[in-house]
Amino acid sequence: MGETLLDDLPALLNGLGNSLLVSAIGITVSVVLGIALGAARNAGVPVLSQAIAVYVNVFRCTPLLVQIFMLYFALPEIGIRLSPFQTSWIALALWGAAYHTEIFRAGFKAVPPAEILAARALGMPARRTFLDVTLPLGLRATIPAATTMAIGQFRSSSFMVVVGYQELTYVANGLVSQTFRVFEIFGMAALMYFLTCTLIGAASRGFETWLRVPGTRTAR
Amino acid sequence: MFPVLQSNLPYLLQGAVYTVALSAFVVVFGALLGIVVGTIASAAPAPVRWLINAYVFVFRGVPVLVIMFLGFYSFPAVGLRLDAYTAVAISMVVYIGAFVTEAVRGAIAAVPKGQVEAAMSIGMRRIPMLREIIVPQALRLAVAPVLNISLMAIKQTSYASIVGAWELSFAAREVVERTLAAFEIFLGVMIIYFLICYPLSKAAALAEKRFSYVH
Repeated sequence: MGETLLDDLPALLNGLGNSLLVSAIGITVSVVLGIALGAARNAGVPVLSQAIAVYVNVFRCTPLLVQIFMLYFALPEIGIRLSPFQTSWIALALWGAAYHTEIFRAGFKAVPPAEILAARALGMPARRTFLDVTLPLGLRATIPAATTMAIGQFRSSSFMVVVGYQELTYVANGLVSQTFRVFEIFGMAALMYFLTCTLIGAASRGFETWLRVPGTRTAR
Repeated sequence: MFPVLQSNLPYLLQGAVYTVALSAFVVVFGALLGIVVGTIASAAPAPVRWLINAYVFVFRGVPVLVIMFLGFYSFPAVGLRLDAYTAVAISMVVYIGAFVTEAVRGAIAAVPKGQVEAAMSIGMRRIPMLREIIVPQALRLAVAPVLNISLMAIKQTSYASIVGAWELSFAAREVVERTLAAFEIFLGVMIIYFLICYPLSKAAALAEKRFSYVH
């Protein structure tokens, strides 16, 4: 809490680091979970498929904030105590996975049926077909949508302020209440979020071009 | 079953009314703002387009909570004394407006080129063409995305409680602080939010099927 923005910069950057850390873990877990659940949904595994649909609907139709409260304040009642850091990444992972599941399901569904039929006609077993045809083509098609969601997850790491995790918004809010320099500090925080989101978006577009298979399209 | 939830349900439902009212305000005015700005973006000269691009780009890259905090603290700084609701509502309208702008612009761009060419070939000018041909078709395409954005907006009103606006999430925290029955109350609140959002998500899915084809 120094005199100028320059003095506050290290604290804000530290907050940004914490935001990035918790987002990175949350995004990674949710993407892996999303691919697995999306594949199960796509394959139409009985019972499991319906259970996943319920999970997806519950997490997509309730606010992340209430999910965070559930993890942080309600779970201790049944003996599970989570630290602010654990709450933050688990909340981002569970919430994000619900959306990623739908994204990957749509991606797997968008793989041209002819490709899958061709693989099956060549005698590839269903599992090999999924791993060698549906997965590589489907995942490529989902890069834009999954990136949008990942950016959303990074932005949503700001809500971890309610459990007291020291991420960027928490740090900025603390600095503002000490210094009252609202525009500078929240402006700087907004700029940091904005630049990070832009960088993630640009990296994803580069990644997408690099991986593109001629003749295939993106999902949606 | 759930005695604490039962005795506090009227209080929570009162909070839900505030949530719905705030959401309705944000969705209606955010959509209006987005439709106007999105339409302008598709027809305006380059400098105006750049300005709109910047608006969309910046707001979509910043968390809604930061926008709420900025609005909450900055209205008093420019001499406007607003309560938490008004500050949150205005911040959210501008935030949601950016998302709707992008959806509307995308929908306008998705109207088939043949329609525009046909309109031009019968001698329609730019504004009548926009009013008669492009916007009516584009609005159909924009229904599903705008419903999805509305869904996002309803869930985001819960963050208004962080800034200090009393609504469902705020009421829930009050009740939990008083009764310590966190699991019961937050589960009840999740169900209330679910009951508000689930029908809308079904409507969005339906609209996607019904309205997303083009001629």
